[in-house]
Amino acid sequence: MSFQANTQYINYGRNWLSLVIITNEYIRHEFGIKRMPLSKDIMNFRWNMEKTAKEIGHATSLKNLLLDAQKAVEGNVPYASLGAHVPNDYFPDIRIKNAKLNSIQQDNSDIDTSLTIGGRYSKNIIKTDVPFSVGAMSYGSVKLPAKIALHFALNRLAENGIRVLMNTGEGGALPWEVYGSEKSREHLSKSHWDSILQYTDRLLKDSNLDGIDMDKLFQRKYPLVVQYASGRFWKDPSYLLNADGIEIKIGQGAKIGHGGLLPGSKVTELVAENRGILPNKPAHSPSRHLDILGPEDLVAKVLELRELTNWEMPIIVKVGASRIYDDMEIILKSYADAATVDGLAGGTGAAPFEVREDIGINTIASLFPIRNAIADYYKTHDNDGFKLLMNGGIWDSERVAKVLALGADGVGIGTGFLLAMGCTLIQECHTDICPAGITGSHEKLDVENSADGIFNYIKTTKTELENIAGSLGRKSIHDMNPDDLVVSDLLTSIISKLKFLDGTDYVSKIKQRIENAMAVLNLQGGNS
Amino acid sequence: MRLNEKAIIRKSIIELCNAEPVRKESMDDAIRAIREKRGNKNRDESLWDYVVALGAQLSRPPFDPYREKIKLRTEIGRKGDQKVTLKIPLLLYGEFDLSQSSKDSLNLALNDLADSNSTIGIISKDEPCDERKYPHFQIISDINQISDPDGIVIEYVNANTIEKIKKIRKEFWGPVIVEVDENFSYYVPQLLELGVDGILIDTAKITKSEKYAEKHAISVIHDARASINEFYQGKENDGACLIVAGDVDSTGKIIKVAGLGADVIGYDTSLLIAKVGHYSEEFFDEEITAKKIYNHMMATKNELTGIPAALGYSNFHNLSPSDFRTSNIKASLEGDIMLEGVDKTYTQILEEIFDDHISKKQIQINEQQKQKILEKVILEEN
Repeated sequence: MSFQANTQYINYGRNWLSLVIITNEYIRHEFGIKRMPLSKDIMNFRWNMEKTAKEIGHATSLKNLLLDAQKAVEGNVPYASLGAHVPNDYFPDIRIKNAKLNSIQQDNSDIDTSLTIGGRYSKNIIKTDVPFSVGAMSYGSVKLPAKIALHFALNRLAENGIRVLMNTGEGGALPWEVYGSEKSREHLSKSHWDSILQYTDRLLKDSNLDGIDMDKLFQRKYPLVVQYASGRFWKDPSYLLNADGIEIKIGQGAKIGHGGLLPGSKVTELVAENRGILPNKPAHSPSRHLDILGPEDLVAKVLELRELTNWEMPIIVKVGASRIYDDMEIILKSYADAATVDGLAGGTGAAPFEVREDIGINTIASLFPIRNAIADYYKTHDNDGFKLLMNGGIWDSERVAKVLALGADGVGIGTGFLLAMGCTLIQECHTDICPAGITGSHEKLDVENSADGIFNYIKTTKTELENIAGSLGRKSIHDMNPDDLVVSDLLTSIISKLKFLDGTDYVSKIKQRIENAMAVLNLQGGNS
Repeated sequence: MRLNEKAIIRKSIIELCNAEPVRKESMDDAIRAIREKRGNKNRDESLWDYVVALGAQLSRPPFDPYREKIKLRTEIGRKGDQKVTLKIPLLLYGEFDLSQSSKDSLNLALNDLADSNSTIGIISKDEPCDERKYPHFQIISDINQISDPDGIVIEYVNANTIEKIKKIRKEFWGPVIVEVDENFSYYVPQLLELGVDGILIDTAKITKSEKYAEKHAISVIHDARASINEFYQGKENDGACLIVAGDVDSTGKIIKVAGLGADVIGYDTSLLIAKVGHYSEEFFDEEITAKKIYNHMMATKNELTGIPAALGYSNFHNLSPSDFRTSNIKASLEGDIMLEGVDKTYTQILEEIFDDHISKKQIQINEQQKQKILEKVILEEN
């Protein structure tokens, strides 16, 4: 695609405005955006607002003007996608002491990077070979080719001895996820199986993927966790019974207290059929489970699901990071095997812009109260294998290692996998302009290439994790602890309780400042 | 996420997608390098971005704004029969030189909003329209200028303003709001004693004053709320409200400003839309512009009900500073906002460390000396 500045817009201004326009055009070119996500009316109105604001000296941001133009022209609440704009996520201010991502001299392949979930109350245990999972991304919020690429990549990894956990997201599972094993198909009637194959056939044809081998497709070799969310977007109990674990979704970092959301434009006939809802209408799941209003209700729900699954399946409770100490206290007492906590930067397919930006706390900041809640609980309980899984702004091995060192047992990655499939981070997943063809557009995603990208992303991330742990002399990635980390910033030390490279912490830094101030003010005090 | 940080993340993941590990540097090293290059200056470019609200989940269930009623209604006025009701706690306020056609569009939109149970008000120097269904607060400098408004706004200029307000109070029975300057803390108690119904602070103006030159709007709001609360210490607030204007250009800011203490928000985006509608005379259409103002406000109303619901409130006015956290020390200092994760303000952390340090050193420092030392420490932080 050749880069041509839009002369219609250039004519508007002779000053810095032109620079902004050219920059926008450059970004569109660079990231392969072929058309604008918003209507011409909205864009024109935004240009006029910007010009007027500049003329009268009205201070506001370009971001706000775009949102205001959307609201003025359409009358709707503007949506957004992926993670919030987080001005301070603390990650870069934390370093792993002496860690190496690459290690040519040393073979670290025997370092343990596995993760187990379950066994606290469940009979079964999910065992994976990496401490990170594919975060919850529903069919509907991402398109079918992306879901198939993830499916194929995880199958290939399993064949290569790397089992990776997949989370379905709240929008139901695809047929090969539910019926991907011989055992799951054992008791299906022929007519039921035929209807599943017919739906699968329609799914594949709709995405021009009808050349895919059905036998290959209907094999799931990786563990699957299905979400039990307030919208109950699944067709029958097979969704729950054929999974390896269930995650009760109370909230997520991008839309805490809001419930799920899939814009009507993305609820196609096939997506609607998979979710058991009407097509072309927004899928709003309630902000809370209608039968979970408090701690006792959560216990009842966990026990109900345990009965349904014969106490076999690990049950996880997911919340967004917010009033996290209190929420963790409740989860720990709820008979769940694990908790998933999603930080403010946790992604989404769609959320109201203001909800995504303004509600919830950062992943790193949430870890201290979470650790406290867990420690307080286990003061009066024996260790029983409760697991903590963290999501939100975790994209590479170093961030995985930092979060594990701060007390998590595993992490969920969402955006990282989208990037591995070619995501350009334009954050328009809620519209139909995804230039990579992952979340919704007429662009075609190359399933094989995407599966290769995911395969390599997981393998290299695992290798880097082994190198990080190996370079620190650890036998397991889970042996990392806060002493392996240092901070370079006072606030990060306060939030994480980590020390600086010189071994001091925020308390000693502040005490030194107090001493300095006392000396300057000549207030050394008198001995009592 | 800034664009250059996005580029680093994308590049880093693409490297990981190669068959062999090739990364020499993690994405955090690269991000840290560009942040250090940028310096701390830009970190405070919008302090509001560092303030977040705590959502409701298990420990407090959220409300459902699609299925449950979330109250936005507020009243301005301290005496029963003179109160003005707003269905959305917004008063349009701003120095916009609007043409008559823009004003007509605005009038049309505000009437339509009132018809849709979404009444907002306006603060303006203009004479109120006769056929209005919304409250109009007229800005006056003298009692003779009053022309049938629902409320009035008078700017505090000097001690003579007090005398003017006394006269106005005798002759005008609607709500009286006083726009204050940076020295508000000295005279707000006196104004409230006189029966003033609301205090209007324009943070954009006040942060330009010498007193607040280095401060953010967060600090002004915090101090203004503290002044009102101090007046009502030990007694129940009888309806005196704080109206905050000047730095509120998004729904997120409306929520944060309300959480930090504002009862009503002075909002100017609707005025900007009215002005923009008139931007090009040949395309101007009063009804189309009115529709845009209406659309914008109805979408804003939906956002304003959605966020308190997500925080576990059925009433917008239940938002309080304890619902907010920050990831920035300056924001914590200016607004007494708790730091995320630790649930303490930076000042509380300093005081705890100070008390511990002094007690271990077994030295005596009085309260005044302590405050001086802490001020010096904070100064170093800034």
